[in-house]
Amino acid sequence: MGGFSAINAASGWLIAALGISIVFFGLASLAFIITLFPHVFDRLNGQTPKSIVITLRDRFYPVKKPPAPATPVAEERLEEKDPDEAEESLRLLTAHLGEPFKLPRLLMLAEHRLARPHSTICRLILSGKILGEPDGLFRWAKGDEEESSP
Amino acid sequence: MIPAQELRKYDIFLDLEPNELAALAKIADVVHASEGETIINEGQPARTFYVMDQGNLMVAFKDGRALTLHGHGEVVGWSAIIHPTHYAGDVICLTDCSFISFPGSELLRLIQSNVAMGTKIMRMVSERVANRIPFLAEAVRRRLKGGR
Amino acid sequence: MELLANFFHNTGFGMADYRHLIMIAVGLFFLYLGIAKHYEPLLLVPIGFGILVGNIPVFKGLGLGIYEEGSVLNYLYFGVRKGIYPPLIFLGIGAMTDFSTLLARPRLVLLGAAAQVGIFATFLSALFLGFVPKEAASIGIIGGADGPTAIFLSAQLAPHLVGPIAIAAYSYMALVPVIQPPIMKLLTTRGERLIKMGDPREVSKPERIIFPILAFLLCCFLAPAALPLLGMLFFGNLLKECLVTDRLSQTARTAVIDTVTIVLGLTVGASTQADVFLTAKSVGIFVLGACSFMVATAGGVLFAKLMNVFFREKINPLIGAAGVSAVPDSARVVQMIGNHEDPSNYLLMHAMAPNIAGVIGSAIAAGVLWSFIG
Repeated sequence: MGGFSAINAASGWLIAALGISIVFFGLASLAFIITLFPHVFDRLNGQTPKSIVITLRDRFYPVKKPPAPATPVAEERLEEKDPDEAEESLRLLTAHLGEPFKLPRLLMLAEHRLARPHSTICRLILSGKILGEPDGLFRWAKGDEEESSP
Repeated sequence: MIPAQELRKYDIFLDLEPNELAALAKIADVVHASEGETIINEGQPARTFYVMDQGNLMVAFKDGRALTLHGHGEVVGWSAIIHPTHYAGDVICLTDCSFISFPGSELLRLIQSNVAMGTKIMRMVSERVANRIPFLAEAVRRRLKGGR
Repeated sequence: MELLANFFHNTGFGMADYRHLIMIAVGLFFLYLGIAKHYEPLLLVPIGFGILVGNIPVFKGLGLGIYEEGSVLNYLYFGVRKGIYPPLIFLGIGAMTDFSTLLARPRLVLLGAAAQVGIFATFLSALFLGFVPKEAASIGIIGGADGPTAIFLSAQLAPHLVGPIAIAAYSYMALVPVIQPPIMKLLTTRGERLIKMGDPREVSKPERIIFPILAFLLCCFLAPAALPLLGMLFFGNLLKECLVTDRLSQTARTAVIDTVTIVLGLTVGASTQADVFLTAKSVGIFVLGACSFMVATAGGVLFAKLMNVFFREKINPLIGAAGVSAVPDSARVVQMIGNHEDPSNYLLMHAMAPNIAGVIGSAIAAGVLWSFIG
C-alpha cells in the first residue's frame, strides 16, 4: 500500500503533527528555563541552602518585627561642633556596651545621638582615642580613660 | 575609563607594565561615596573591586567585629576576584570617600588572560589584605588558598 | 583435480557472485571517501571496511558471518541490535560538548527544533512510498542527521534496515558541505547572509552544571523513550562540567567513544549485505535520506527568517541550517557560507547553539516515534 491512503491508515498526519509539536514544545520549554538561569543564579549567588530556606520562609511567612523604640523627641543630636560632648556621649554608650565593644554596634547606637556619628568615630580612631584590637573589637585608649574618669 | 597614569599613584599597581596599566585603566572608573553610605553589603554577589583614593572606611562583619581602613591605596571588594565571589562584610564610609572601581568580571577576565599581570595583582592584593588584623588575615589566607 | 576444484569452490572466489563484488566496490568507495577525501573518516573507514568484512563470501553454518549466532561479528553486532552502542556514543558526545553557546542564547534552541521537521516530512514521504510505519519512522530519523540516533531507532523498529539507514545517515552527514549550501543560498538574501550577531553573554559554572540535570529531567519526562540517548548525553556532559570527574569524562570522550565507534562502524558495515542493500528499498532510503536533509536544512533556515519577523535582535538565518545535528559539520558550513559573504562575520559559535539543540531535538523525535510506533 502507498500513497495518501497509506499515510491515513498509519495515522501519519497525526503522528507527524504531534511529533513535531512535542519536539518544539520540549525544546521551547528548555529554552524558557534557560532564560531564567541568569536571574535565578544571580539571586542564589553567595547563598547557602540554609539562607535560601530562611529567605523563602521570610517571604511566605513574614515575621512581624516589633516596633522600633520611639526616639525621645526632646533629645537633640549633638552637632560636630561639640566634639568633646560627642566624645562624652560615645563614652556613655560604650559604658553601656562594655569593653571591648563592637564598633558597628556603637555606630548604630550613635546614629540616634549624634548628627554625624561616622566622622566622629573616625576622628576618634585617627586621633588614637579609640583603638582597634587584633580580634576585631575596639576599646578606648588607656590614658584617655584615666583622664576622663571623674 | 581613566588615564593609565592615574593608576601609577597606587602601590598595588606599582609593578605593572605600561600596557598592563593601560588594560586596567580601560575598565576603571572613579566613584564617590558620602559619609555613612554603605558601598558593599555582606553576602551580595561581589561585582566590583575598589581601590580607595581618599577617605576612611569601616569593614563590618556579621559577628560584630570590624576593622577600619584609612587613606590612599586601601582595597575593598577583593571577593570580586577571589572565589567564592560574594562579599564577606559590609563596607561603610566613615567620611566622604573616593575610589577607583573595577568591574569584577572584567578584572577577573584580565587577570585570567594575562598570567603575569594577574600574578602581580593577586600578590599585591593578598599582601595588602593579609596585613590587616590577624582575625581577618587568617580568613583571607584560607580563601586565597582556596581552602574551605 | 577434484580436490583442487573442491578447494576452489570453498574459497571466496568460488562462492562470490556479482552482488558481492558490487558491495565490495561500495565498501572500497567509502574507504576512498574517508581516507582520500577526508569525509568523516572516523565513521566511513570502519563502515567501509565493515562492508568488505560482511561481504566476503563464506559458508553459512561455519559461525563466521555476522548473522550467524555465536560468531565473533555476531557478538559484536549485539550492541547494535540491542541499541547499546548509540547511547555509549552519546555519552562521549555529551562529554565533548560545550553547551554554553546554547545557554548564552536560548532562543536559538528553537532552530534546532525547526530542523527536525525533516524527520517527520520524510516519515510521511516514506509512508507515501509504501514503507510500513516502522520502516518509515526509521527512515525518517535520517533527517535528524544523527548517526547514533538513526541506528538506535532503526535497531528497535526495523533492524533489517539498520545497514542501509546507517550508511545513508553517515553518508549524508559526510556530504553536509555539499547538500546544504545550495539550499541555504536559495532561501536567503545577501542582506540576510550579512547579518552580524552580537556577542553571547558569559555563562557561569553553576549554569553549566545545572543545565544537563534539568534538561535531562525535562526531556525525559516529556519523551521517556528518549531516555537511553538523552540520559547518556546529559550524563556525559555533567561529567565534563562538574569538574570533579575529569578522569571519567576524559575516558568517555576518548576511550569509550572511540572503541564503540570502531565496533559500531565495523558491525554496521558488516551487516550491510547485498540482499538488503541492493534492493529498491535501499534506493528509496537513499533518496529519502537526501530529501530529509534538504527539508531539515530548509526548515531551520526558514524558521530563522520567521523569528526575525518577531524579534528585534536579528538572527542570521544561515545558522538555521545548523539545526541539522551533524555536529560540528553543519555549523562549519554556516561559518563557511557566512565568511564567504563577509570575511569579518564569525558565525561558528552562534551556529553551535542550534547544532547542539538539534542533537537533543533528534533524540526527542526518536523517542516520540518509538513510543508512537514501537
